[in-house]
Parts: sequence; C-alpha cells; structure tokens
Amino acid sequence: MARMPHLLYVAWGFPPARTGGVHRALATANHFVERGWRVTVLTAEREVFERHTGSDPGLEGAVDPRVNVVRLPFRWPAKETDLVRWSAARVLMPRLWWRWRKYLDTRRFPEPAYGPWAGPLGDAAEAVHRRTPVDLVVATVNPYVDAVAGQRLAQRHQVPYVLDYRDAWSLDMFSGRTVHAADSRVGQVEARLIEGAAQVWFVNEAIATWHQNRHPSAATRVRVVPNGYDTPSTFEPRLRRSAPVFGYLGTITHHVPVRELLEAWQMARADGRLPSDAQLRLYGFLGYYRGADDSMARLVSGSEDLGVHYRGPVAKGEVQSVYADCDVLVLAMGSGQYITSGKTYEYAATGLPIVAVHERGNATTATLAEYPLIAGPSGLDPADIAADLGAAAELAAKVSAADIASARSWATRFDRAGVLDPRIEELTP
Amino acid sequence: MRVLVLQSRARSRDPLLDELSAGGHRVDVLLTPAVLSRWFWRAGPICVDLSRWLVAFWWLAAPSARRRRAHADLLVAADESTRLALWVTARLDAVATVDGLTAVVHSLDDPAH
Repeated sequence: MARMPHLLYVAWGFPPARTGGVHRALATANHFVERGWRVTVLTAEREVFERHTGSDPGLEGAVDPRVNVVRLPFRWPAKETDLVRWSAARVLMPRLWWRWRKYLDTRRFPEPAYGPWAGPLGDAAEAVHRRTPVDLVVATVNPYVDAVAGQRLAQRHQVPYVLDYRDAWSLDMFSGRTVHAADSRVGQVEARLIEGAAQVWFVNEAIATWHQNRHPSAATRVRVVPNGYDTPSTFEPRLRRSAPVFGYLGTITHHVPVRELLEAWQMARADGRLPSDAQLRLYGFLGYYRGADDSMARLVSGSEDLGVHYRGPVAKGEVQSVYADCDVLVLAMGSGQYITSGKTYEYAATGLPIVAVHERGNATTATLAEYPLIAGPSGLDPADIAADLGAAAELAAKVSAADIASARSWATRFDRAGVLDPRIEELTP
Repeated sequence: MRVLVLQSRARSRDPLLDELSAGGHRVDVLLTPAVLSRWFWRAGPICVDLSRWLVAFWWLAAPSARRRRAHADLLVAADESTRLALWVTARLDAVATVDGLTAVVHSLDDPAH
C-alpha cells in the first residue's frame, strides 16, 4: 500500500484559538486529511489562547480527529497581566525593560512577541520529520515566524514548503503603503522566505499582484486562495414584502463606514427609497475591545427612531439564524484596494440580496461583481449609498425563493473545499 | 468578587471598568492623590519615577488606602503610575493583582463576529 503523504501544517493560532485566520487554518488541515494526507499540526499550547487571546473550545471539536495536533510552549511576557509575575526590572525600569524585551523578541526572527518561537518551532519541525518524514510543510502566517518550520526542513531535508500568507507583512492593506522596505531586515527575511517557497498563497488578486511585483522571481509560484465559507446556508428565506430588515454582521471598527451608512439610511428613509418601516440591525463587537468603543457606541445607538438597532455580538453558532432573519445583508467594509473580508463569502453563501457599502476600488468589488443579487457599490458618498440601499430594498421586495437558490448556487464557487481542492491536488505527490 | 481598581485619574468611560462590571464583579475605584501622580508626571522623567514611589508609599501607609484594600479580593492597576504600588503589595501580601493596562490592551482578540 502506498504511504500516505505527510503534511506538517504550522499555525500558531489553531483551535481553540479565536485569532484571525483560525477558520482558514482549521479548514486547511481538515481538507488535507480528507484528501488522503496524514496531517500533523504545530501550534501554540492551549493555555496561550485561554489566558491571552480568548478561546473557543467548541472550535476544537471541529478538528478532524485524524489530525495530530502538537502543541508547543509559547511565552508571552508582554501580555502577562499578573503583576506578581513581573520582574523588578519591568516595574522599576519599564522603558528599559521594553527595549530589552524587543531586542530579545527580534534577535532571532524580526517579529516582536513571536520571534523567540523560531527556535522551538524549528526544533519541533525537525522532531516531527524524524518520527515521520514530512512531504510538505504549509505555514499560515501571521505570525510570520510560522514560516521558519518550513524553511528549516527545506534547508536541511529539501522538504518543499508553502506559505499561506493570507494578507501581507510588508504592505499596509488599508493605506497601500509599504511598511517594510525591501532592504530592511523584515524585507530581507521575507524575500528569503518567499524565494525558498514552493508556493505562496494570498487571499486576493490585489495582494498577490503586489507581491509578484515585489518578488518577480517568485511570481509564477504565487496563488490566490480566497477565504471561502465553511457553512452553506440552508435556511428558508423569509421573503418579506414589507418592513425589510437590513443586517450587518461583523466587528464595527473605525474602518467600517458606519457614519456614512447611517447618514445614507436617514436620506433613503426620508425620500422614500426605503420603506418607513425598514430596519437596519447591526451585529458585532463595537471596536476591537471587549468593552464597547465609546464613540462607536454613541454612533450606533443614536438612530433608534430611524429603525437602526444595535444588537451586539453574535456567537458563531447563531450566525445562520441572524442571516435567516434578514432580507438584505449590508456589506460595509473599510477602504483600500487590498481589502477583502471573510464575511463577503459568508454573505454570498446566504443567497440573500447584498448591498455593497465600500469603495468601488476595493478588492471585494470584483469578487461579487457577478453575484446575482447585488446592489452597489456606487461609492462611499452618503448619496450613493442611499441609492444602493434603495436598489437593495427593491431587490428584496421582488426576490423569489428561486432567485435566492440561484444566488446560493452561484456562491458555491466560494465553498472552502472547492477553493482548497485545486491547491491540494497540485501539491499532492 | 470584590475588585479594587487603583488609578490616578477618573475617566468618563473605561473599557477595563466596563469589562470588570460586565463580569459581574463588585468594582470599587480608588483614585491616587492628584498631587502624587498628575503633577509629578508633568515634571519630567525623574519625577515620573519619584511619582511611582510616592504612590506606592501612600498606598502602603495611608489609612484610607489600607482600609479599602483590606476588603478587596483582586487589585487592579489601571495605569502606569500605580503598577509599582500593587507590585509591592502582591509581593508582601500575596494578594491577586492584575495589570489593567495589559489586560485591556490585549483584549484585541475577538473574532470577526
């Protein structure tokens, strides 16, 4: 019987973590197993997520039992909240302590906080390879230190590695500004990592192209692997003919054009483009903190008389029921040609009408350009958004169950399995 | 749990206090004397260090501060000038102490939804 190919998957943030990219990491590991690979995951110990980043134990249950998860210790002195564990130097000379900490963090790998993991991670990768020879390493970054495992096995044992970059290290995706010059330490480390990789994955064309331009010799090894959705929607659409409910689901930060959306909502209600009983429900955290961002809270709570209601965060398990109660989904996103969001695919999977509230030049515009039930984006001027809201209300008023089924069918191209399968096939020996 | 938050100035809205209150804790806030923290902090780096020590002495010696902390199960340092005071207390009395600044700054962890 042929030996199963062995994937070493490196993801600092793996369930039960609730960190960015964790759903993609989970899906990637599971899909490799389903496609006949033996999978070993290298990740940080559970306590890191329980103590520092928040954890979702339910997510751990979604890991395929055939995946072998190896957890490595990870020290995070900067996030230590227990004062009794602080050294005298940290308390008495905080500025000096921070400088020393930064030096220690970046001495081996230029990534504050995560750099010291490079050594243990490389050693662990070697240990896994000694026990069961590894055929491929896939590392999902950030943190970028994850890439070290693949680089180590490539240099010492000629094992190919893939970098699942998702976003970017040297590019600020909101401003489009280069944050690490090519001749900086990060720039040089990154160039070596990309140069040595068998493939480099990015979530959208815009980010991929930026990297192809910066690393032309690696251009043919760059692949776009969009995020996709994990749970297909199966709820029965409500098909309300009046009092449409518009829903936004996602973290509400200053990058999201909420102010423009609310102004547009008021305009569209005033001039009749939106029915007077239309509702806008906002779900999600206000700002990045668990405690609500004060200015965001004031912003979203001041328009109740206009039918705008802030409903708070939603647990992952309740997301589908929130979608089921909406007639139109509001895809409000930050600006920048490199910006996409996981909710784009999840929204599309519902088959519901979507009103796009973001810049036309945003990477999401192309993703949903052929979605059958899309209104906008016309731009971020409130007058343009108001027009799009009106168009979305018209869509919601005449949409049929068949239209929604058809939109769901169109969105199956973003099913995570479909997104990953071609890449896995390409990499299978 | 009875939580005592030691801070150098009152804030109209505070994510740390919000979070503690949301967790169902009984939260009590103790402000350090303004003369020790705010005034010294305006006067330069040496005074900043001096300010930390003065706050620590006040915290350990002042009867009002001693009374308040005697009833607390958890002490929280809400800003940099109060860390030294609570660090010393944690060493002397083995009381649970948390650096509130670190706890709040590193709550940037919630998932997309």
